[in-house]
Amino acid sequence: MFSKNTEEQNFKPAAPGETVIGQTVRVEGTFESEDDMQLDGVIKGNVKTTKDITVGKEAKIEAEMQAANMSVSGEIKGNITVSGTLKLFPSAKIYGDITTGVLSVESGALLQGQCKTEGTEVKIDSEKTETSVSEA
Amino acid sequence: MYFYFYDKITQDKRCTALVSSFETKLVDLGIAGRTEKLSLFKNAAELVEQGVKTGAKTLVAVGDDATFLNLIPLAAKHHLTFGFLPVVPNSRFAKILGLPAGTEACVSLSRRITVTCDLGKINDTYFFGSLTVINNNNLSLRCDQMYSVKSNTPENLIQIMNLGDVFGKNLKKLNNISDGKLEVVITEKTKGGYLKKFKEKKKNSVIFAKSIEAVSPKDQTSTLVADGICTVNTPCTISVVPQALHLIVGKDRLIN
Repeated sequence: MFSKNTEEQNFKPAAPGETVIGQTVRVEGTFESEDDMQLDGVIKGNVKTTKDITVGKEAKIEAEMQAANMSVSGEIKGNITVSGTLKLFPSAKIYGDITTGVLSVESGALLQGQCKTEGTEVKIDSEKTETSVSEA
Repeated sequence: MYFYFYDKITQDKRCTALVSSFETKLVDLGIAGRTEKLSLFKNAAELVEQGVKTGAKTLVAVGDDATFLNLIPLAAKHHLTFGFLPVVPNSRFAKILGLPAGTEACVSLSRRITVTCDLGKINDTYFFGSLTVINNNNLSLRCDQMYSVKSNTPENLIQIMNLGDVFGKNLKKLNNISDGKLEVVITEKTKGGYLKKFKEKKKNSVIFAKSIEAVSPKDQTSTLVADGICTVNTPCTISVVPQALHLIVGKDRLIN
């Protein structure tokens, strides 16, 4: 019952290669990665990955975002481009335009901006930040 | 040629029997070489430099964990293959390198299984494991000249890892030693008593970068401790030097 509880035990380990921004961390600038990202902190600038992004409930993001797939529970001010599936959970707040292959919105999610879904995957140019949308 | 560097601790009476059995075993294995003993009048850097001039290609640290850490920069500087013979029980680095206790470590040395590993560099000083920020006074870490990372609270523990926290509780959490990246790990201070374990688990912040500039605001300074042996104040530049060191390891090593 009174087993020892260390500081270490209170933390989930990040998956190998996964970038994690915790609630008490602030990142500013062009933030790029080739791995999954878990974002729970404050981020300003640009966020880009060739893999998946999970935006946590506490996250406050002011950034242009690009990813393969994205799940959002927090707040994002900025345009989002996702090549695969974008999931908006009930606590999600998006102020910006969305371009995505597939959009999934749960009841309660807030979306202010234009939304463009193709039903097919959106190509993301890995070199440039501009996106080109494949023909449906 | 093997160059054996004997640290001061080898002159301790408790170590003399083990050291002489090392010497016998090394002769038996055919890997005996030049030996130098550190003393009041001999500096480690000079001794290693002399060894290199006489044709040493492999540097072996004979001593404790401090000996290992102190000689790593010299082995990297002179591009020497680096081995370790621990003279103390429960050496952290013997465990990490998978070296058995006693004269069996000489056998591992003679097998010469090597791994190439990255080293971290803070200003001009190499580090093997990690840097720990002692006083996080609004420290800003500018990573890869692209983005900056700040901790919102001074209580957070900031570490910059190459191999990882080599003096930490869990050695199994060590990083990939040759991925060419440093890992910025920010650990949030958690509050609470017995109920702490029932709270939602948080993840440490983990960010990967190849080069980092650590900058403090005006009139403030943060101190970074490299592997617990060397301190550097901000502003400073931190980078990874890929494949900087060839390490001789045993088969039960914790690094790959």
